[in-house]
Amino acid sequence: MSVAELKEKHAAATATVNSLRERLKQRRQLLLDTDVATYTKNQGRSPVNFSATDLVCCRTLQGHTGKVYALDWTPEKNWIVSASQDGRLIVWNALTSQKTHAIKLLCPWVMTCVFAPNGQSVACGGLDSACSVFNLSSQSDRDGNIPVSRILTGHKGYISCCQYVPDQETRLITSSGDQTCVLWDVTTGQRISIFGGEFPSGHTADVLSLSISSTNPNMFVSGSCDSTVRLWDLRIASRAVRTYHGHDGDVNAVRFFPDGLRFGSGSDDGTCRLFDMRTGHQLQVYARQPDRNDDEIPTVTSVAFSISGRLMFSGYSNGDCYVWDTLVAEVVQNLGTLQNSHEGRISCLGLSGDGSALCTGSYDKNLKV
Amino acid sequence: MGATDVTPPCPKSPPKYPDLCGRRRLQLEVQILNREIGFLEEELHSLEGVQPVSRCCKEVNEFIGTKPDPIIPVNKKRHGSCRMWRWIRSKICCCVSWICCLEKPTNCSCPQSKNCECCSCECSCDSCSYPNCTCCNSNCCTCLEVSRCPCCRSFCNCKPNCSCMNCKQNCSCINCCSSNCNISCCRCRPSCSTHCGSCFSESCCSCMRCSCTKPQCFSGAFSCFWPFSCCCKSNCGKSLCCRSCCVLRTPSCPECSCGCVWSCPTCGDICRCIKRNNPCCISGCFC
Repeated sequence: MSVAELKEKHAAATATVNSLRERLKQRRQLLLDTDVATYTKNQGRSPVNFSATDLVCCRTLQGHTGKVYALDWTPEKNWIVSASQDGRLIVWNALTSQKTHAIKLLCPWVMTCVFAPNGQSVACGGLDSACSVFNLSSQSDRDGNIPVSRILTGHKGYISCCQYVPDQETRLITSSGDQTCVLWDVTTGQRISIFGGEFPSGHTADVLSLSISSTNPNMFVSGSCDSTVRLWDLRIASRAVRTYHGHDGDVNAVRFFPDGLRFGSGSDDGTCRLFDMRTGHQLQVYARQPDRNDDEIPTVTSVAFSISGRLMFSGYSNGDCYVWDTLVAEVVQNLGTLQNSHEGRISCLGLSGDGSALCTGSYDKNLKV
Repeated sequence: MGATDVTPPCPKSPPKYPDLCGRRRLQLEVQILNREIGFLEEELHSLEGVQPVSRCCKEVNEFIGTKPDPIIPVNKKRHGSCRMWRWIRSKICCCVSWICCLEKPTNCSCPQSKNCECCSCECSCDSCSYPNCTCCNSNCCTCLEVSRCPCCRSFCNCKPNCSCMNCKQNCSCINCCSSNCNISCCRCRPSCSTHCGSCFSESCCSCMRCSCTKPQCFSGAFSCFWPFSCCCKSNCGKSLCCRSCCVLRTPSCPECSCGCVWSCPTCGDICRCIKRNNPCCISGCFC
């Protein structure tokens, strides 16, 4: 086939793709008969009532000397691991504020950290394009550093996020700037599956975050700079199960809803959205009121749900931390305006395993509980 | 014998090879598009019979509330005995003070009234005497005395709108207290200088208020070729501003060339290659 004929085929295929996307959009619009807020308000729901003292900052974890980029809670003990621009991971006892471990990293440009399900190991990754695993029970070397127990190499871009598969100490998923996600066997250091890449229906830009369903650990979602979220099945790496459109900018954060069938996402377009995993429907948009003091719309950096799903916490680039009533889509509290709130961008947040506490991390070098 | 004119050697031009790499790239793209068409048709087909959004909303509404949530405040309900006495009182025209005073709600922290009249015995926050609620701490406007002054909560206007009068010059107020509060209540953002370098100072504003110029990259690297003129915007190295936005620029490929050489030589300590956006380079063709 000549180049000219190929070009004609290319143009025809592009037109078909665009037409199909438009049809899909219209078909979804027909099914969009309501949203969560309209439905629940019609059912008589009113917003959760928060007073100024219902959610207070009871701990400020100080110790990092650089911006905090990521944090994670242990599933059972009240420990938190945080990653910072200072090139360290710190493990904190959230109840006492004490530091139990401080791990100096080989590559200081860390972007993500996570606890293993048993709380005995932590994993992290960043601009070194590798995921490092540390066993907290290991003996420190003579400099007082915990040696790395495994390095997972293979990504061709930075590691933006990593998560352990629930209840599996040996399975870890990473997301990367090379547009792929990878499932690893931590014991052998081998890649088990690669999700995305050039040919399969993967993301077409950097992948920035991922979240694994608690009720069906074979399913995970990833958010990307291509403005989409994609659903993957661990057993089928050849293609994404579904692609969720809606955001108008990079999707910085994704998190599954507690029922494991819905998920929330946060984006550079300043909104959070709730999607239904199985149908692909966008159920709700959580958009902040425009603030005349903002030259640009603050971007969403992080999202998390309370244990019941009634509250959604979202961190923003201007230091706000909104508590949304998920059902009525209203802001019931802004933690960024409370006494002792962070003085910089909220970069990460997460709920404790029992759902009783929220930890936020910020560019002001602190974490707050 | 005269010198023979010797024609200097003239190397032949290399043969013109067919533009295979460009064809291959086009073929690959057509394959990807055809695959995408298949996925989209499948998705359209799967929407037949899919439940509307309202059903999903119903499921969400039903799910929430099935689990207790420790982070959500519990509504304080009146004690049953209080309700009964209020009902009785509402039926009796004259207050018999000793009846009302028999049962005081245990969660009432209002001081016991000297004259124990029915209404004050109930001790609802609207009617009880409460201490003056000031905006407490000199640094802030939240009420700290809540545990001893439940009424205060409803009367203290914590963090009213900012008048900005006490903020520094050139600051924009995000969330100030009223003008009689201490200046430290104000969360002011000083205006940034035009250079990105000022964005890293702890005392400076967030990068999004900076009108940044392209960063000075270390020698050997190119300045950011990203469409945005300012590395401080989000697409340049997600969590890291400006400084790490230095990207080693990949060469642009003419459409029908043999492709380009993808090279990302090892970056220095400061900058790393973060994003690739040139399709030629992704395919990694070599001439």
